[in-house]
Amino acid sequence: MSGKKIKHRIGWLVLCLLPIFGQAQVAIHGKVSAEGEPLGGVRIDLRFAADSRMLTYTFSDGQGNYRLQTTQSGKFILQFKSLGAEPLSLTIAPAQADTLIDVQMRPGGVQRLQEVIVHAKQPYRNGRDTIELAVNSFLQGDERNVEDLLRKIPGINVGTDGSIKIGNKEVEKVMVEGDDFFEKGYRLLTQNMSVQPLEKIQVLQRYSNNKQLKGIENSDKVALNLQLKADSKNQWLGSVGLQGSPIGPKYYQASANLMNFGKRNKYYLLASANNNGYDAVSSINYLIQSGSANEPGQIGMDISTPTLIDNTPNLPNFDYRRTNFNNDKLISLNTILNPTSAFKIKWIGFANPTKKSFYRNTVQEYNLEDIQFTITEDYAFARKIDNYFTKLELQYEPSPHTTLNYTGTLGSLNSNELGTLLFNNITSLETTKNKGYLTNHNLTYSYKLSERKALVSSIRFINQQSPVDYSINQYYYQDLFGPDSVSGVQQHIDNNLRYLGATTHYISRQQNGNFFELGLSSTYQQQKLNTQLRLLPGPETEHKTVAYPPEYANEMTLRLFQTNFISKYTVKQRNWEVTPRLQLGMVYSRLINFEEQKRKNNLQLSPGLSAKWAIHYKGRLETDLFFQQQNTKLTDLIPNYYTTGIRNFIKGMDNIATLSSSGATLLYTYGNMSDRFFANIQIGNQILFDYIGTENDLHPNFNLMQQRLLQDKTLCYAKAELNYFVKSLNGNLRLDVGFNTVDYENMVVGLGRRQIRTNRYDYGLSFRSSWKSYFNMYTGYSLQTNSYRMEGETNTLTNGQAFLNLFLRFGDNLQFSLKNESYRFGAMPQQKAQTYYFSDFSVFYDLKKYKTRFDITAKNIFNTRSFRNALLTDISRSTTEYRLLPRYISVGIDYNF
Amino acid sequence: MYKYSLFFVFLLATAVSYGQKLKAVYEYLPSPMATFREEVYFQDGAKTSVRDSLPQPMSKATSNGDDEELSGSMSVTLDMGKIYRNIVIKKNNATQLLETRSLKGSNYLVNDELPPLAWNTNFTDVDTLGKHICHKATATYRGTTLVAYYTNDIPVPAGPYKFGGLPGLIVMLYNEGANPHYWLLKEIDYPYTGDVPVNEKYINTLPKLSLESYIKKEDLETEERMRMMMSKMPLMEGVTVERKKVRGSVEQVYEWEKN
Repeated sequence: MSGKKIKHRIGWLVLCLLPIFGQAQVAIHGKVSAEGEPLGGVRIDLRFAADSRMLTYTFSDGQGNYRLQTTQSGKFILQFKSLGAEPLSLTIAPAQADTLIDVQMRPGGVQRLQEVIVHAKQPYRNGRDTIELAVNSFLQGDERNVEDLLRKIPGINVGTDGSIKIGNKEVEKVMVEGDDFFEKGYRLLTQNMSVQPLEKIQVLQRYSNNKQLKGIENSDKVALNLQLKADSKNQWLGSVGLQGSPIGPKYYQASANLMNFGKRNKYYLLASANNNGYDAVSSINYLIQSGSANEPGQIGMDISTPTLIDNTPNLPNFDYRRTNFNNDKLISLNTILNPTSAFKIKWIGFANPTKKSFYRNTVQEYNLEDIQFTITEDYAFARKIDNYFTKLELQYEPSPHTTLNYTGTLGSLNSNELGTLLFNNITSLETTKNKGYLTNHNLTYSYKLSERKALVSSIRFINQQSPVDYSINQYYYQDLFGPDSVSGVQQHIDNNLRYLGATTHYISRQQNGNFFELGLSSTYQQQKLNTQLRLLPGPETEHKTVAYPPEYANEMTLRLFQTNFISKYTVKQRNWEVTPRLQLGMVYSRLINFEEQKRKNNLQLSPGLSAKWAIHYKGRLETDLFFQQQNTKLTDLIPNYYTTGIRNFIKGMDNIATLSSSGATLLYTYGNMSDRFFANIQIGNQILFDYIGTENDLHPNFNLMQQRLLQDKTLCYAKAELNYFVKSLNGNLRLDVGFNTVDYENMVVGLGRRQIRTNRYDYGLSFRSSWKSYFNMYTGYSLQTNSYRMEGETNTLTNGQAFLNLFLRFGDNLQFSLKNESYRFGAMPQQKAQTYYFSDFSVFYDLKKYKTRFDITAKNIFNTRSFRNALLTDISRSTTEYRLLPRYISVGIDYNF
Repeated sequence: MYKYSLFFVFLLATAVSYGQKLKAVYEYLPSPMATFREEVYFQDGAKTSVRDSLPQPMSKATSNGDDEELSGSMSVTLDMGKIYRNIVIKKNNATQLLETRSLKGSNYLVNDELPPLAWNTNFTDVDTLGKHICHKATATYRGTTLVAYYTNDIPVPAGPYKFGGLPGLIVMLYNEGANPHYWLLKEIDYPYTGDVPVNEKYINTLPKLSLESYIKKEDLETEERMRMMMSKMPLMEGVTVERKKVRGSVEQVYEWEKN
């Protein structure tokens, strides 16, 4: 043993014996030998004779020498132990400060060791799919909520909408100590919970929502679990935030959240309000429709009444907050109780009174041979929404292999919309009242038959009513209903759904990873749709009677009884897997229109095949092939016209049809995010053998749209994303290329069938720096070209977008960001294409010591007040101008406790 | 490919060849997703530890039959390129230990002036691992706390990786924290008559670096990879962040980094 080591040992010994320091030190040393030869590697330990407690130990060196020291006195046992020698034990009571003990050991002891050790407690044995991340490793002190923290963890992507992705898979849920409040509406948690109580973040791979399916289900789902520090449990925690504009237009945002997470009970209270365009309840939709559709043994996940009148503006690739004049309020109370370890109660309640306004002016141009006209619409919408929603979830585990789960929801979804309208230069007032009611009950029974087999059965009942009252105080339809004096038009819609479904799935995962699923389900669905258009008599009419045009009334019922057989088998090998699947269904449909009944009983066949193949170290190929048959939906079948707004009257086919389609996709991925070169290439093709097309009867004041069953629509697409990290620039250069083409037919009254081909090309180039300096940038340009070719004529529209984001950072506490965007839209022939510039500036200052963050934000610095977007369809070309929130400056403070 | 070209040679420890060789095989679990095999050879106070560079397929006992996932792969652990075998050699008369490390496809012989581990064996905790009664010991090690269970039955001061110096062979070791690395003793062979599969001659021809300069090189490389990843991330609302480096190993803070 080296001198340094001995010194160290002595030092350590002195430290250990500090309490009794001052007593005489005894050194025991000597030489160990066997059969006259010095014996090294012998452990010599000194123990108290009284209790065998070890005082110190050492190993003999190559020459067999050893040295031990102790400050203790009394009777000791000096033990000599080595593999290959008989252990030796001496009882000593050293009286001298320097005691020499030489020993001779005899060969023997452990002659041979050949052992395989089986650890009863394997780390990760049950949690092999769990990656645990220590929050401290990622905290930089500038994060006020969980979302901020997640953004800093490599491999986790947080979208601007708050969606969380691991790689490119969106997480199922974000749990706290294994309990989940919000399912896919987790943004409410991640955007409002402070990071202070967090200790660890667990990334749960191959996650199963159903505990009994863990390890069996062929899952590629991911979930997050937040684990709390011991001292933060059973404490009220939370945050408050306030933002307001001291000068100019008054905009504010305020939020408060309070939480208490204990081992048994968890509470979460949230209140928020704003009028700066932010949709505080964007995630409420996930709570209304909870659960995951792709899970085995689930039924009726995507069943709801169809939306018939929707005035929500649709602005892809544009920040909705700029057009959203709102006044959002949200209050939410949530609790999870665990009265016993086998029983869990979860209750969620929401109230969401909100006002939203938006303004849009549309110019729509029809230029189809001799159908040529232009329409103008100037809209100002004010929508008042009152949503109340409550959900109760009970989970009971009578045994470790059985889970019984009940979920019941009750919702009241109301909205009142008032539209002030200038349509073709005639003013009118349009109102739309929705008074929805929803109740949804689901009972799931899961039973784990063995480590690899499980049975899941579910039964679901849904009752939903979505009545709509639509009215307009003008009469634009003289060409449709005659020139009589009409003071207004009303439409009442009854839109009801009743659903009962039951299913049983058997799932089995074999030792080699192969996976088998067999399911049987039966559903009964009844949808009722009554619509009635009323023409209110004008003041000049003699008979003050309301007219009900019979062609504009529906009283229909669609009854479906469906039995499905589902089977799926996955064969897994080290670097590839193949999953053939088959769905076989028997459908009995009955469509009742007033008194008239139509029946259709048919067999549906939907086979498919998906495969994954790791071709080489960096490359992966995925493919999916399918053939699918499904029946037409309620909205495709509506026999008579109903109105969906000022101009459009729609009617369905009044005939149940089976739609067949087939498709194939291929995806190739090279490398990953931390590689210099990372690429994704995707191609796909789809053929719709039957599809629902439209026949339009176009008039300046109205459009009669009839749905038609057409054949052979083909869709092809290809897209590539190429990333290359340029070392000399220290940043990532990204190129996006996309192509999309669709061939189909539409029909226009007077023009007959028209062959249409649409092409869309996307190009994008962007650069994001990753400089070590305090300054960084992200810039890019993208171009989209849309074209419609029909009857030898091609209409093309090209839109361009550019952005330049600059970031400045001084230390950890002070950060600036300047976001600039420009949009250039193609325009109608007589219009001039316009470019719109937007610039937003923000500065953040963190006062970490006080868990407080201050910010100053300036929005829409160029004060762009309107925004004109152009749209091309197969029958028209239109531009829509939206009014935008003005420039404003706000000052904010966020405090976490 | 060096792995396959390594010749099997004897490890000549000290001048005196009195003891028999002990071979211990550990399972090294740096994360739930990966398992490595580590072989430790111990003779006359000299230790050689050899860790395989490729993760082991899950053994039957520990797997639930799942195969490795093809899709949905995570990028939490950074892909550091091709990793060579990690060999740690500690001679009984030297204060330093030698370690082979690889960086960007090159192997280095790294000299680690590892301060001796100050084990605290003052625990009454006893655990039975396999058939061995094991005692707990802890030590502070480069920014983390090691928790080891050793057995008095095998009086050999050896253990996995750079660890040892306890009264008996280490049966289990992990570092405390949210992301523990585990070492589990799986097999013991004594006396082991085979060779130590290490070509010392080859190792000695490798470019030599001190641990400090190696770690600095590695940190630069990690940082570059982090930057590559960050530069591909979608834009975050508001601000950009400078990344703090997080080491994926047990060693988090080095002696020269403590101020």
